[in-house]
Amino acid sequence: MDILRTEGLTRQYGTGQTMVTALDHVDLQVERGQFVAIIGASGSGKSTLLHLLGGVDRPDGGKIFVEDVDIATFGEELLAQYRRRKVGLIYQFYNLIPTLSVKKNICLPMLLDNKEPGKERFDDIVKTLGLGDRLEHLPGQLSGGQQQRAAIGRALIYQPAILLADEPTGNLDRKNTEEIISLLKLSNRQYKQTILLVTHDENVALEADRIIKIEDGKIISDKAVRP
Amino acid sequence: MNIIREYSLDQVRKNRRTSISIIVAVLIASTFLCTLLVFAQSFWNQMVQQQIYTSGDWDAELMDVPADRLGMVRDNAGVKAMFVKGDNQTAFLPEETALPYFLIQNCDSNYWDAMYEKNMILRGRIPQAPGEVVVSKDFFSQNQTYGIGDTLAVEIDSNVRTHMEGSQQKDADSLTIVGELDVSVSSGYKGYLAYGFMEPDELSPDSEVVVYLQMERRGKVYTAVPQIAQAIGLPKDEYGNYPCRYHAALLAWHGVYAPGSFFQSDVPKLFLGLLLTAGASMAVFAYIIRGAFGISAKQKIHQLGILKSVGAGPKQIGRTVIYEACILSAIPILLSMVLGYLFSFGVLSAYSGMTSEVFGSRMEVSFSPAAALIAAVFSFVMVLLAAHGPAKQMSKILPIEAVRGEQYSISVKKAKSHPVLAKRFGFLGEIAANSVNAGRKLYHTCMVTLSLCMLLAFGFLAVFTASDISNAQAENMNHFDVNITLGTGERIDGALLAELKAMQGVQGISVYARANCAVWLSGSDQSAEFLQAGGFDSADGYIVERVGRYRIPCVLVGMEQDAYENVLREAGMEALPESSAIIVNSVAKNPGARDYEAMQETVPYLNLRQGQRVELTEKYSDDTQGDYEFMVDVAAVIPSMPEIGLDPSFYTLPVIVPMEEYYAIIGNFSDEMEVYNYRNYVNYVVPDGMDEEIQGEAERICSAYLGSSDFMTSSKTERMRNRGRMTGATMFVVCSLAALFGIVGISSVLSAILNSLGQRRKEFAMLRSVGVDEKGIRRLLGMEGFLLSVRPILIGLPMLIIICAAQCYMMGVSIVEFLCAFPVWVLLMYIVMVLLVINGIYMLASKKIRDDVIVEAIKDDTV
Ligand SMILES: Nc1ncnc2c1ncn2[C@@H]1O[C@H](COP(=O)(O)OP(=O)(O)OP(=O)(O)O)[C@@H](O)[C@H]1O
Ligand SMILES: [Mg+2]
Repeated sequence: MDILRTEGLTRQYGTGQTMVTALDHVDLQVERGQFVAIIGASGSGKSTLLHLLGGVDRPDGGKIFVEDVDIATFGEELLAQYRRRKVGLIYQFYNLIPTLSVKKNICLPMLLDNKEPGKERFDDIVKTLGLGDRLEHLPGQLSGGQQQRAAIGRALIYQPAILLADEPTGNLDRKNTEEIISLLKLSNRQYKQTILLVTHDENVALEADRIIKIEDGKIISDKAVRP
Repeated sequence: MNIIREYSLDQVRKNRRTSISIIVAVLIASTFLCTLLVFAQSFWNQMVQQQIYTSGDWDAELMDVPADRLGMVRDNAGVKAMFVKGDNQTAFLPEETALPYFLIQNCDSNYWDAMYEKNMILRGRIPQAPGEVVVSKDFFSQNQTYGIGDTLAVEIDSNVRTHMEGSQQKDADSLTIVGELDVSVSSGYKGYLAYGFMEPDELSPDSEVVVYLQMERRGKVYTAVPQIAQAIGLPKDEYGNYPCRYHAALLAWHGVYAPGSFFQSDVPKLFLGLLLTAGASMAVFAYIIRGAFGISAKQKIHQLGILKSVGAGPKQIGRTVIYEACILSAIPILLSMVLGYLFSFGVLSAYSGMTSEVFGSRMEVSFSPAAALIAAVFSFVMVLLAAHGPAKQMSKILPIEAVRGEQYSISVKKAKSHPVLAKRFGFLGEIAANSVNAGRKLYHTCMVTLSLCMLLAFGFLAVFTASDISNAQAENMNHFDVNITLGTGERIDGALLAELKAMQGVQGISVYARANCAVWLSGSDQSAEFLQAGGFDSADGYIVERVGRYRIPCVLVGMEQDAYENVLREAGMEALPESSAIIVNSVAKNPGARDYEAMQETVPYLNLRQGQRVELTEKYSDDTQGDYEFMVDVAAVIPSMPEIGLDPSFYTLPVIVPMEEYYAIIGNFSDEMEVYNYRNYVNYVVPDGMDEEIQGEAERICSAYLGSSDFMTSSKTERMRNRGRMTGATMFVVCSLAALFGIVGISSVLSAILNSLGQRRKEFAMLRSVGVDEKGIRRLLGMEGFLLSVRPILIGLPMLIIICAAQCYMMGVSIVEFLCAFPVWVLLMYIVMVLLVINGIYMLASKKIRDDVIVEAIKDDTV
C-alpha cells in the first residue's frame, strides 16, 4: 500500500501577471518505508512539494492522500494533529524556538501532546546527533550545524511515519552530512519510516532507494536506485 | 509546566519592550475604568447619603398603626428594623410664654438614630429619655428667658383617641429641654413644635403611631408592605390603598421601583449612561491594546509558525496570545486599583473642594471591594477582547507563511509614488512615503488611536460646553433676579408674606402659587390657528385622547388679589363675584423648533371666551390619586402669560385665580397634592448688583419664620457663581479623564513607533550601506515623523469640528459663544504634545540610527 499519494497536486503563488506555478499537477506515489530523494534546480518547487506534504501549506488544486485519507480536506485541528504525530518536517533553514532550551525544542511535538519522550529513545537520538552536552543551551548558543541537528532530532522524536527533510545537510560539512544521512537511513530501516529528502548533493541522493527530479513544478524523472 | 504556558512566559520575559508597552496600556486603561467606577460609586454614595441625611434611612412607612400591633410588625420576617413616631401630645406651657403650648411628637430611640430630625438640631442633643424634648428655634427666639437644660412644669394633654368623645384629661408633668431644633410650624397652630422620646412598649395600647420600616429584602418592599398592613389589620382608604408610603427616592437609588415607574426614574438612565460610557471606553481601549498585542504577535510570527508546523493546534496557538494577555495584565490590573483610587481621590477631592459651597457638603470618595472587583473584571474583559483578535489571526495563518515571516507578507503591489513628496524631497521623499505606506497597519493603528482619543476626549468636552452655554442662556431669560420658594406643607404664614412683600429696594415683585390640574375638551374647542399648526393630535405625550375627548394639562395659578385685579384691568375686564378665573390662551406654534425665537412663537390655543364656565379636574394624569373636580368662570381671556416668573410647559393652559380661591380649591385635593400645592413662590426684580443683598435679607426674614428646610432662596449672581463653580469643577473632572485617554493614546502610539523603528534598523543600515548619507537619513525620518504626527490631526480635527458644529446647532449656541467657553487651549496643548512627542521620538531614533555601525545593524537579528 502507498503511504503517500498525490493526484494533480498544484500550488500557485501570486495572481495575474506575476503568477508563479510552483507545482503543476504533480502525481506521486510513495510506498511505506521508501527512502526518496528529490532533486532539481533552485526554484523548481521542491520545498513547495514538501510543505504541502507536511501539511504546513495548502494546495490550490489536487489531492494528498496519506494512508488513503485526503489531508487537503482536513480542518485546522486535525491538520495540526497530523503534523504533530504523522510527519516530521525539517526545514531548509533551521527553525528552532529561540527561547526554549535545545532539549525542549527537540521534545516539542510530544510536549504539545502533553507527553514526555521515552528516556532510551531520547538518549539514543541525542547521542547520535552529538548534542548530549548542549541540551540545556538555547539555540542561539549553538553553531549552525548543531542547530540543524537539533531540528532533525525534533523531527525524529515522535517516530513519525513520514519524515520530510528539506536540504537538512545544506549547511553541514562532509563528516556531519554523512552522520546525519546514516542516522536517517538507520531510522528508515529500524522504524520502517518513509523518508522524502530534498538535496542538491549527488552523493546524498545516491544513498536513497529512489530519485525524483523536479523541474518547473513538474516531475520529469523518477527512477529507482535500488529495488 | 505546560509547554505553551512556558513558551508564553518566556516570550513575555524576552520581549521586554512589547511587554512593557502592553503593561503600560493595560495599566492606564484599567486605571481609567477603575476611576470611572470610583466616580460612579462616589456619586451614588453621595446621593444615597444625601437622601438619608435629608429624609431618613427608611424604606416604607405605615400610618395609623395601633400601638398594640407594633409587636406584629417587629416580628414580621420581612422587617429588618422598625422605628416609631407618634403618641402626639400637647403640653400647655406656663403662663409667660409667647405661645401657649408645645406640640410634641414622640419618637423612639431607633427613630432618632435613623431619621433626619437629628440633623436639624442646632444646639444640644437628642432626647434620650421620656420627659426630654428638643424644641423648635422660634420658641427660643420668642422666649429669651428659656434655654437648654431648663425644666418646665407643664400640663400634658394626650391626643389619645378615647372612646368617649371630649373626655380629654390633663396631667401635670415636667419637660426638660435638651436641644434646639431647626423646624417650624405655621403660626396658625399657636404652639411650638417639639420632639420627645418614648418607649414603644410603654405606649397605651389604643394610641396610634407612625411606623417606619427598613426591609430585610428591599426589592420586595412594594409587595411586602401592603401584606404587612393587611396582616396587622389596617383599613384600606377610599382608593383601596393601605395607609402606607414608600421612600421612593431612596429605593430608586437601590434599584427598587414601584411597578410601572421604572422608566420615569432618572436612576436607570444614569446607570445606562454609565454602562455606555464604560462600554465605549472599554471598546476604544481594547482597540488600542489590541494594537500592542498585534505587534507582539507579529514579532513572534516566525516562531508561532514553527510551533504550528511541528503540530501545535490552532487552539494552542491562540492560547499563547491569551496566556500572554493574562500574564501581562494581572499586575497592571491590580496596580490600577491603587492608581485609580488615588487618581479619583485626587480629582474628586479637588472637585468637591470646588463645589462644596454649591452643594453645601463635601463629596466622600468611596470605593468598595465590590466596585474593585467589577473594575478588575471590566479591565480583564477588555484585555481579553483586545487579545482575541490577534489570537484568532495567529491561529488561522498558514504555518509556512508564518515561518517565512514578514518579509513575504508585505504586499508586492507597486508602491504608490508620492508626487508631492517626490518633487519636494526627490528620491528620499519617495522612500519616506513608501515606508509609511508599507507599515500601513502600524500607522493605521497610530492614526486611529490618536484621532479617536482626540475625538472622544474633546467631543465630550464639546457636548458639555454647548449644553452649559445653553443653560446659561436659559438663565438670562429669567425676568427676576431673586427667587424664593416657601413650602411648609401648609398655608404660608400671612405675616411672613407681608414682610417679604414689604422688602425695601425692590423694583418689582410677584407672589404666586401653582397646582397641576387638567381640563377635558373636545376637538371643536381648539382654535383655528392651533388646528392649522397641528392641533391636539400633534401634541402626543402632552395631550391624551379618550373616546373623542382630549385631556389638556392646566396649571392653576394663585395670585394675590391686587395683582390679579391688575391683570384683569389691563385686559379691560372685571373680576366675577365667584370662581373668577383668567385664562392665558396661547400655545407654542412649533415647540419642536430648534431655534429659541421660533420656539417662542405662539398662536391662540382654544376657543374659550369671557363668561364661559370651565370644569377642571385635579386628576391631571392617570397616576394622580385624587379626582376632585371644580368649576371656574372665565373673567378674561388674555393672550400671554403675565410676567410672574412662571413659564408653563408646552400645551399647558394657565388658569389664574385669586389666592383665596386657589386655597379653597386645593384644600379639596388629595392630601399629598394639597400639601405640595401650598408652596408659594416669591420673585423680585432688583436694581443691578443688589440681588445678593436682597437675597440675604429675604433669607433672614424667612428663617425667622421657618425651619431652614422649608424655604429656599436664590439670586442671579449666586446662581451664576455656582454655575461657574460647577462648570469649572466638572470641566476639571472631564479634562482629567480626557488626559487619561490622551496618555493611553500617545503611549501606545509611541511604543508602536519604537517597535517599527527597531524592526527597520536593518533597512536603514542597508540604505546607508548603498550610500544614503546621514543628512538623508535625518531628512527621511524627519519626514516620516512629520507625516505620522500630522495625519491623525488632519483627520481628527475636522471630525471634531463637525461634532462641535452639530452640538452648537442642536443647542442653538453660536460659534463665538462656543469658542469662548470651549477649552481651546487644552486642545491646542494636545495637538502640540502629539506633534512634539512623535517628532521628538523620531529625532532621537534618527540620531541612534545614524550612530549605528552598519555591519552590526545588518547582522543583528532581532530575537
Ligand atoms: N511565498 C511565495 N510567494 C511567491 N512565490 C513563491 C513563494 N514561495 C515560493 N515561490 C516561488 O515558487 C517557486 C518554487 O519555490 P520553492 O521554494 O519550492 O523552490 P525550491 O525548489 O525549494 O528552490 P531552492 O532549491 O532554491 O530551495 C519559485 O519560483 C519561488 O519563487
Ligand atoms: Mg527550497
